[in-house]
Amino acid sequence: MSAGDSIAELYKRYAPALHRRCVSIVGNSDEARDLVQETFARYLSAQDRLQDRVSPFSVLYRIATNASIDRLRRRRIASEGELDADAHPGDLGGEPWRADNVHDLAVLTRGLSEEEITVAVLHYFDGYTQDGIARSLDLSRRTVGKILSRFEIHVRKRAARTGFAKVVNDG
Amino acid sequence: MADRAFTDLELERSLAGDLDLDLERRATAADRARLDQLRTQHAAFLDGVDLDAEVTAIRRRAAQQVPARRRLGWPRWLVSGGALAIAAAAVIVLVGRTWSPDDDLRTKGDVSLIVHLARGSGTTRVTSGDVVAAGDRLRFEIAAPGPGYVAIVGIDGAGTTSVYYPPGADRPAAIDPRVEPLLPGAIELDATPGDETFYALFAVQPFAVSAELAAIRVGAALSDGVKRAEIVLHKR
Repeated sequence: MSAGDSIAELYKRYAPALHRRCVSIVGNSDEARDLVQETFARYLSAQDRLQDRVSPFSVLYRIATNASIDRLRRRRIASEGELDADAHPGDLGGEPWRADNVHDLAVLTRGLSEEEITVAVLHYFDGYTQDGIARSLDLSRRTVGKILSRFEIHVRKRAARTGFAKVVNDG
Repeated sequence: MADRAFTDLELERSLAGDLDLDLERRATAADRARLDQLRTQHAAFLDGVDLDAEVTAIRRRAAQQVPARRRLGWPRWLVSGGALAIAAAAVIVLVGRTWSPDDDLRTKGDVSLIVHLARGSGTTRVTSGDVVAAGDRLRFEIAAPGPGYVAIVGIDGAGTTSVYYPPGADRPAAIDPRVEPLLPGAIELDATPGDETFYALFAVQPFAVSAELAAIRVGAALSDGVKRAEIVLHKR
């Protein structure tokens, strides 16, 4: 199997789920497709460093989540801090608190690792339980708890500086 | 999700052949309905994609991400720099060198990264989440328990990588942070907006900087013995 075939195979297997992840964060299908391309490009450029035991899906999912969150941050810069209506996710099952939180999360997760951002988004944006996150990402329940604890400390410190407090209070 | 045994993510991994969930025995009716929905969405997505074109675009973008972008490095400031460079370096070197633990430092293992910012005539220490601007100058300080090898690398929000110290090198520089924690020179930030993560990579033995950088980009483990610390700055 050539490198090209390998990426094609990975794309067929994982791109639909990654696209859904990206759409749920950035709220735009075309932009999400661009993010999926970017996700695979990053994965491809570092593929030889991946360990066999690491699931491609887990790595790709972290990259996709992080890239989507970063896109939101850039959008916020472009609008000089004011988010336009298009910036809000459009396929979230009619739960408006999530739409607000994803933008709060984009700001509040600044400075966290890809894994921490992925866990925080699943918990505070998607509403996953800690057990659900652990099962979904092949992490231990304890690791998820530690990551969320670190996130909450990080958020409280940032909240004092930025005025954001809703995520932790609502979470 | 009270009537669901599996998360959407588990179901999607199952669809991708990544997880064996024993759906026949464990899935609820709601799980099965959701799985059907996801299967339909996935098929619709792939129907709308030109796979060859996507793979070509991905490979092109991957090629563009390597080699790392070079930015203004500190040897040019210190060795060949003019009056501005000398003045800037002089300002930055006045920053205090003491270090105390801080939760904002993204430390893993035995290395910590401290970043000093020089803007105008003032200097300050910055931590993750702080906002910086084009033209700001950064200087890096390392805290580690003993001598070793260090590299400072950066990844911006677009995934572009830079090796800041030693500038452009694939081999880290030998240092003893107990004696000289402040790395020589400074970098000047370019105008690219967005978040940039700066990593300090440290080990008692030399390592390949490009290989560790590639691992960081995809969340893979670093080589044995290589420690890292990181800080994210927001550039506008």
